[in-house]
Amino acid sequence: MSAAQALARARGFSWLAKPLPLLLLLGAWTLATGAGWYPRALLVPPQQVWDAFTEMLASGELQEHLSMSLHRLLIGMMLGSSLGLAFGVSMALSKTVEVYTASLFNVLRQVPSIALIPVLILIFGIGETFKVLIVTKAAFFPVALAAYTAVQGIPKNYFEVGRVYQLPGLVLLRRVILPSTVPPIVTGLRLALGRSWGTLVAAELLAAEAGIGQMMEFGRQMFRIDVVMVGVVITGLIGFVLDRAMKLVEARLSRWRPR
Amino acid sequence: MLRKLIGLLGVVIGAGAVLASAAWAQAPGGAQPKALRIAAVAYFSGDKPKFIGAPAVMAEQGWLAAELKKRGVDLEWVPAAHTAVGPLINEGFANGGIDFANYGDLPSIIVNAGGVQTRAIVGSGRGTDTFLVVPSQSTATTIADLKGKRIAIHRARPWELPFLRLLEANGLKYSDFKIINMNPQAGAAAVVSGNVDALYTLNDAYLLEDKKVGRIIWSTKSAPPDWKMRTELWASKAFIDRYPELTQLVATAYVKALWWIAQEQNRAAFVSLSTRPGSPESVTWREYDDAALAWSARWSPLFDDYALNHYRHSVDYALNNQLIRQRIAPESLFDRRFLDTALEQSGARQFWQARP
Amino acid sequence: MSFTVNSKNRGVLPRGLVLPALLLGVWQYLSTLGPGYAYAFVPLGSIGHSLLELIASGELPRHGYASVGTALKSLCIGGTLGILLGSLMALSRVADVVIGPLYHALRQVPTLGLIPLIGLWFGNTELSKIVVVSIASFEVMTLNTYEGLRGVENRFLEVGRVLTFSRAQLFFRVLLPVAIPSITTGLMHAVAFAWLATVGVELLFTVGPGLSVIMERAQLAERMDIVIICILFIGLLGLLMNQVCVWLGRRLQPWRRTQ
Repeated sequence: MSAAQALARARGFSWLAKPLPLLLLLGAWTLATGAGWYPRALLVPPQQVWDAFTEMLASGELQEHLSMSLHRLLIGMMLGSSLGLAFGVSMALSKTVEVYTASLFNVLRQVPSIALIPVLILIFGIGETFKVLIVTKAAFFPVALAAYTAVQGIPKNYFEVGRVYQLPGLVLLRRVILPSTVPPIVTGLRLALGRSWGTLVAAELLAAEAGIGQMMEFGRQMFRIDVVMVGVVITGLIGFVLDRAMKLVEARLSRWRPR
Repeated sequence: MLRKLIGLLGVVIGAGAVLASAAWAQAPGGAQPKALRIAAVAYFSGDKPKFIGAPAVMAEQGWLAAELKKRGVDLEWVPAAHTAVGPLINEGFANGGIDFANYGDLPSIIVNAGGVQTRAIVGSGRGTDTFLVVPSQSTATTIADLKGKRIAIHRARPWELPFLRLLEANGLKYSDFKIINMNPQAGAAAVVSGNVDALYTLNDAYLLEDKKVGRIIWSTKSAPPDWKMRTELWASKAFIDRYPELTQLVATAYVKALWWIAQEQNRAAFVSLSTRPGSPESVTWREYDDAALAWSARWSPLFDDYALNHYRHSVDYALNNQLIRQRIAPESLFDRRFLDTALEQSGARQFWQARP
Repeated sequence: MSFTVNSKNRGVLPRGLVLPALLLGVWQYLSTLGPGYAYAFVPLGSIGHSLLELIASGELPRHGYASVGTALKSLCIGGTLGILLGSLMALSRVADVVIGPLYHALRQVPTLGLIPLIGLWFGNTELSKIVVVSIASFEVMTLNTYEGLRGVENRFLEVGRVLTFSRAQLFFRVLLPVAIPSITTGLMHAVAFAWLATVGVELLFTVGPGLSVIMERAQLAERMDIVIICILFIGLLGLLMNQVCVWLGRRLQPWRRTQ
């Protein structure tokens, strides 16, 4: 009996399959710290991380930092995606725009968003502005690219069919254009979200008054590795939740896709 | 079959990697360590680190390196960028990357409270001054004027303690300001550009004054002497326990360096050696210009009541302001055994006993 | 899915340069408006001057070389491990179920957010930088390899089986060639992400030579001209590495001339 067959037999426990490896990791972590394999200062026990978590939750500190970070993420994403959408669509629809902006777009796309942190700090100082701008930049390019590709990819015959049936513009939009463009754009949004979150955390590690990244950096300065770990887990969790949420939206929308 | 083998191989490699990392983390030495690592503040100009203070003199004198060489041990100086001395050295002690460090009071208290044991084996004088700077066009003249404004300070660095004392003496709290956690370099840039309304830092405050972009409105020079921040020579307790003779060597070398510095005739040479790159020597001269503190006393390695009280107060402040979470016994931070012998061996005992 | 905005027209290059040239002109104009403006919009002349200075002193080549070195070393380590794990997860159902959820969960943690932890465990050294960038490359390569191998359509496998290929032959003659596009795309993404991570670690661990290290120092010294030069080179080097990947991709897939 192969391993796969054995697994199939155990299907009754299939709900356990996903979380099991993580639980095993947690178990290994507890074991390693309990047995003292690693110095306690280097690898903090899960219990201590949990305690730090509940402590910061109770004092409201965690919520404060988290809401600051998410707030910046939201504004930056809205700005970046709307600009990206507008730009990508216009690039796809207008040959002129494309020809004049394509090379610049491709070159600027290669500059990692975090590389812009020093220059933005020099111009805007260490306040909120530069962080929102960084997120905007991080979100802009994936969304613009996705919008461009999506609109470019609409098969020409869709418009033909529309013309033949003399469909009014609105119906054409709803029944034809949107279903074939929205899903890839949502994928682009998902990618942008992931990128933006990562970039924001890095920016906050460098310079901020509040935010998850700053919370981690301060924890490091205070030699509170448990606080740093809380930050690591939370940023991962947020990334996971955001990604999952977008995937759900994608899945629902892909039902919309014309076969 | 092949798949199962691959799977098994993967597991074995994974387990092996984990065990290897655990062994490496424990990292014991042999009868003698290959290298003895001392961390100290360094300023980077380009990529080259420049050490200052007693470590710079120790390196110049070369006595320690020679003695260690005789025993087959290399001497490694580990530069800790001045922008993050405390955290870098604390992490170094925690992961076993350094054995000794010449750094400040608060980070040492923090690391000990965090479970990593270090001991001060030689003192480093009566303390360093710290300063409150505002942009030159600012109208503030006292800390109270800055209420509600943005103050940049690098948290968990030794100068946070005198800053806290300043606030307390004026009936103020952290919540009366917007405290921004920035390293000294970034803080200086922020003061210049007006992004923050004040900065609390070391003698780089003089630089800002010289460039006419900042104004010092308060310093620990106008405060009781025990407000000054202290640095000592700290050693990891594990190292002391395992290699007491090598620890003694380092202690003696340190005292020799301090003795050389404390001679009035060496002051000029020392200032030359110890000025950070990019900064004029006048900055260093100004910092040491203090009628209340004799030059030799400034470099006293003794652990007297003065030092003990300083640490008692510091632990209290740290605890009250949630910089540490559990109390540690200030007396337990000192290991005086090496100091006595060091004073004997370097012939410096009379020198400091005679002076207050 | 890595697209570049393509334009099939000839003469796109000259027209693509119009916009950048215009922007440079606007920049130069702004720099003449006054000292406040000149601070942010450094005159092109002074940028050029600093550029020559940096190249002549050997600073720029040295730091650029170091950054690229870090990225490439980490790519080798992380990329190889990524291909190995990705293949393992794709080929072995057991591995997929046991390691898969773990990998997907850990992948969500922004890599740069791990910097405080890695700094603690490995010290503030070159090693830490390589560890972080390797992790970044590893995550991307694993995902792409995994999806590439999994996506091999069953009919290809059918053909293999009909021709009575052995397991090994099936792997090398069917799976691998079909998965190569995914893997090379993965490589392109891994390169981009490794470069981004390199910029990030250099900004956060300001140790050792590196382009972003001098950029950070320039920011603190308020040398906008050096900051801009660094940004340009970071973008250029990123573009260069990206192009090398594209070229590599074409060489490895001679049967896919249309691209």
